[in-house]
Order: sequence, then structure tokens, then C-alpha cells
Amino acid sequence: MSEKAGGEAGTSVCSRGEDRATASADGAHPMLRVRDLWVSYGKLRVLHGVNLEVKRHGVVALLGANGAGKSTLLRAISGLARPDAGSIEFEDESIVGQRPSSLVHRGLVHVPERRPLFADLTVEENLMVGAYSTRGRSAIATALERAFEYFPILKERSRQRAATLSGGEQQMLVIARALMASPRLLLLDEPSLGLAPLVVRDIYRIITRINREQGVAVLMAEPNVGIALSIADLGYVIETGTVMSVGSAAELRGSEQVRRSYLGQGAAST
Amino acid sequence: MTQLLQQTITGALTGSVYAVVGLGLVVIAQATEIINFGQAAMGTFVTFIAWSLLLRLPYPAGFLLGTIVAFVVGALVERLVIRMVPEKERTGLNPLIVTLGLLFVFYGLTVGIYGGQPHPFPQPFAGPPIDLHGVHIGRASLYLFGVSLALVLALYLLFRHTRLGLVLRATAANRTAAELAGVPTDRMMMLAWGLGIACAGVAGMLLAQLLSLTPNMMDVVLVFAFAAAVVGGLDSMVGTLVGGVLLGVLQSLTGVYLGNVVRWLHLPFNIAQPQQYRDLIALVVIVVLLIVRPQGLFGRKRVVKL
Ligand SMILES: Nc1ncnc2c1ncn2[C@@H]1O[C@H](COP(=O)(O)OP(=O)(O)OP(=O)(O)O)[C@@H](O)[C@H]1O
Ligand SMILES: [Mg+2]
Repeated sequence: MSEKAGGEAGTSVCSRGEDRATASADGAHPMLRVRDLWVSYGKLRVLHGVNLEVKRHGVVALLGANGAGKSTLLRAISGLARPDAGSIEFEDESIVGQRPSSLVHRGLVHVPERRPLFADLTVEENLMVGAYSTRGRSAIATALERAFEYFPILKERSRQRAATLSGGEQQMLVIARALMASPRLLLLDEPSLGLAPLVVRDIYRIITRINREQGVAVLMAEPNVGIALSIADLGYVIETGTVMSVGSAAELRGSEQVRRSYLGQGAAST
Repeated sequence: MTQLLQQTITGALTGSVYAVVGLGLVVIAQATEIINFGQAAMGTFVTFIAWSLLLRLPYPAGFLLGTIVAFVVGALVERLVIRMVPEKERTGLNPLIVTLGLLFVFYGLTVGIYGGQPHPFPQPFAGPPIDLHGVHIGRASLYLFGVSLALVLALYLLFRHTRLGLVLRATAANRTAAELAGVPTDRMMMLAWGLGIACAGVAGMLLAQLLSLTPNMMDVVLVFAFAAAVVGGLDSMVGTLVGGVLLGVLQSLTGVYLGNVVRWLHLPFNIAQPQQYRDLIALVVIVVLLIVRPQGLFGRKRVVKL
């Protein structure tokens, strides 16, 4: 019952118990607070009372097998899916029912799975769409420069149609496009999907840099435990729509629960 | 020979207005994946409003105001009608029924408010036809062509060279991705409908000064505009322009030469009055294109979605 949701230290791995994830004993206001969230697709219940917090500047990983509900949780937070019940607070304001685009203006940007980009637009045009919420020529130019700084390859490809990029470059483009909106919280859904290990490492290095240098908090769904825990300071293990355990990377790495979550559902490697 | 040239030029000039209406269809279809069968009825309704404004206002002011009214009507219809169609049903049969409903509602409004009789519409450049070595070009046709071309060019510049146009294209390509990139896509839908119906309104005002203003004046135009849009694969602006002009020419030539063609091919029937068949050519083009090349002559890979 005394779970420090923000904890770099002192967070214990707990199994079962839906309410433990919420209580923030240290009183520091989290940037994102999800409480007792229920989401369904039609009659199919997918999330059963999920609790979760992301601290300012924190990096949080959502772990769990295929179909556990990670994407659904991210979709509910960004406004793509409508929750049946529960609350979602971003910077102390309820954001349930808000359109995704207005959340982008407030600094909450979702990079969805399967990296949807505007295939017929050029790389630079894709980025310019991402700058929609940024006002003023100079601010946009600065944002573009920053995006190219993190992803130099995109500068080389800037006049190319997005459809012609490699998978890794496409992933970089969707992250860069999100960066154009100057986010304070990034929701990343499986940035590693289908990419070679070296590319995945590169991308996660850049994500880490963005987090450190821009102070952008990150909440990411990443079924690959090894990768996720290498950069996250906190992990949530989700199993069939409920949070099964919460803990720091070190704690989760040795956790029996995590091992069972994956091996049990046969979704170990991507 | 002079007659051939005359018919070709007349057809091409008229065809430009098909391109304008077709572009309106394309803008709407791209943004909302809906074919608006109410396009012509809405354009005609707005033209009647413009006509009543022009009874009191000078031509440029009335024309401009008419265009703005058209934009507002389009945006409101999106907001109040189209958006009520549940998102999941947007690509099915439902929106088609809804836009057919728009056709009847706006036709009914026009006849109900303004009656069925024809009205003369003010012509900004009235006067005798211009004579070019025996080819006569009506001033009304020339005006229609000029404004149509200007509008197509303006739309092209908007879509290709402004940030707003870029965002509209992005919304059309992938609405969810655009929304997640911070684009208020619901407002973009309204904008697209506004632009689409503005095209229909301008086309209505151009046609009314060429022919005369009646509630049915754009019925045939819609079919030709749809054919023009299909030539462009429902997503190409240039294709729609070329399609519109080509269809205008085809229509004009059919009206004069269909009898000759039938005789020349020794077909077992006679065409006494080719004029009566000229409007069928658009349907023939639509059917043939949808079968042979559903992505249009210019469309890249997208298939026509109905
Ligand atoms: N649009 C949808 N309609 C109906 N059911 C859905 C929809 N999206 C997801 N689901 C179901 O909801 C459950 C959770 O899906 P979700 O995509 O959130 O899982 P996930 O943890 O992201 O999985 P993965 O690792 O495969 O991406 C799954 O059982 C899935 O079949
Ligand atoms: Mg997923």
C-alpha cells in the first residue's frame, strides 16, 4: 500500500493489487496520472481499472505481451480511445474527452504503433505538419533544426517522399514529427517494431537524449523487456488489461512476475 | 473545318466549369471520403441566393458574397449533417444516402423559396461574340473560362504552396495521423466542405450567366463534373482540369458529329438528332473509365471509393 510510483529507489515489485500503483506517497505531483481506467472496444473490455503515473522528466515503460492492452492505454491517454470510466490527468487537469489535437497543443504527443506517416508528402512536409501547433516562422525553423539535429539522416532525406524511407528512418520521422510540436510528454508505441537491433539501439539512444536534453517525459509501450528496462526508470507490467506489477528497472529485471507475464503468454522475442 | 474548331473551342470553354465542380467534388472526397451527390443542388441554391443579392448589389460584390455564402453553406452542412454520420459508417453506403438527401433538400429549398421559373442572371461582359477568323467565341463563355481557370489555379496554389494546403493534404491522406500531429481535423473537414461548395457556387454563378438561372441548370453538370473527377482518379487536380475540358469537348462534338460517326461505322440505326445524346457521353466515360482504369487517367494508386 505504500507504493512510491515515482520511485527510483524504494519501490518494491508488487504482484496483484490494482490500487498500489496510484498512491504517490512522496506528494510530488506527477505529470500524468491515470486512475482506475476502464476501456473497451464495443463489448470487449480491454483495460480493467488501470492505475499509472509518469513523473515530470521521467521515462516509464509499459511491458506486457501482445494484446495485453499497452496500445489501448496509450490510445486512451492521447484521446484516440474513449474510456468507459476512470480519470486521466495531465499536469493536474482532467483530459478525458479531449481531442488528440488539442492535447498536442498542450504538450502531450502520441507516436502510435506502426509509424503512420504521410507517405506521399516529403520528409520535410511531414515535419511541417507536425509543426501545426507551433506558431511563428522562427519557432518552426528552430523546431525543424532541433529535429534534424537529433535525426541527421532526415535532413539528408528531407526532399524525399516519406514512403521511400527505410523502416528505421520512418520510425525516426514519426518521432521527429512529434518533436516538432515541442512535447512535454511523449507517448511512444513500440518504436522498435520490426527493426534491426542496431537501429533499435540508435533510436533508443536518441530517445534518451531527447529525454535528458529537452526534459521530455516518456511513456513507452515496449514488449522487449531488455530494451525497455535499459532506458526506463520505472516499468509497469500489464497483463490482460491490468497492471500486474510496478517497479524500477532493476527490480523488474529480476522479477519472477515479469518472466511469467512473458513466458506464460509466449511472446518473448520480437 | 471551321465548325470542328468552333465546336472544340466552345466545348473546351464550357468544360472548364465541369473541372471547377469536379474539383469541388475532389476536395470533399479527399478530405472526407464522401462523394457529394448534393454538389450541384447546393451550388444552384447558392446561385439563387447570389441572384437575389445581385438584384441590389454591383456584380463583383454580389459574386464575392455569393462565393462566401457558398463556403459557409458547405462548412455548415459538414458541421451539422455530415459529422452526424458515425465515423465508422463514413465509408459505407450511409454517407451516399446522406448526400443524396442533400440533393433533394437543397433542390426543394431552391424551388420552395425561389420557384421554378428561369431568371436572367447578370452578365459582367455582355456583348456580341468575338470573331476569330470565322470562329465565334461568346463573351459569357470566355468569362466562364477565365474565372474557372483562375479558381483552379488558386486552389492549386493553396494546396501545393501553403501550410494550410499541406495540412489539408495530410488530413486527407491519414486523418488519425494528422490529428495526432496536432491538426484539428474536424475543422479541416469543415474547411474542405466550404471550399468544395464554394467551387459549386462559383460554377453555378458562371453557368447562370451563360445559360439562365433555373433550379435544374446544374443537373447535367454534376454528371460531367463527376466524370471529370473520375478522369483524375478522384484525387488529381490537374487530372480533373484536363478531364473537365476533355469532357466539354467530347460533349460538344458528340452533339454535332454523333450522326456522322454512326453512319460512317455503318451501325444499324440512325441518329437524327445528335443533340439529344450529347449529355450521355459523360456517363459513357464514367462507366468505361471505372471498368478500364478505376484509378483514373492521372490517379496514381488509389482506387475510387464510393
Ligand atoms: N480497434 C479494436 N477493436 C477491437 N478490439 C481491439 C482493437 N484494438 C485492440 N483490440 C483488442 O484489445 C486488446 C488489447 O490490444 P492492444 O493493441 O492494446 O494490445 P497491446 O498490448 O498493444 O499489444 P501489442 O503488443 O500486440 O501491440 C487485444 O485483445 C486486441 O485484440
Ligand atoms: Mg500495441
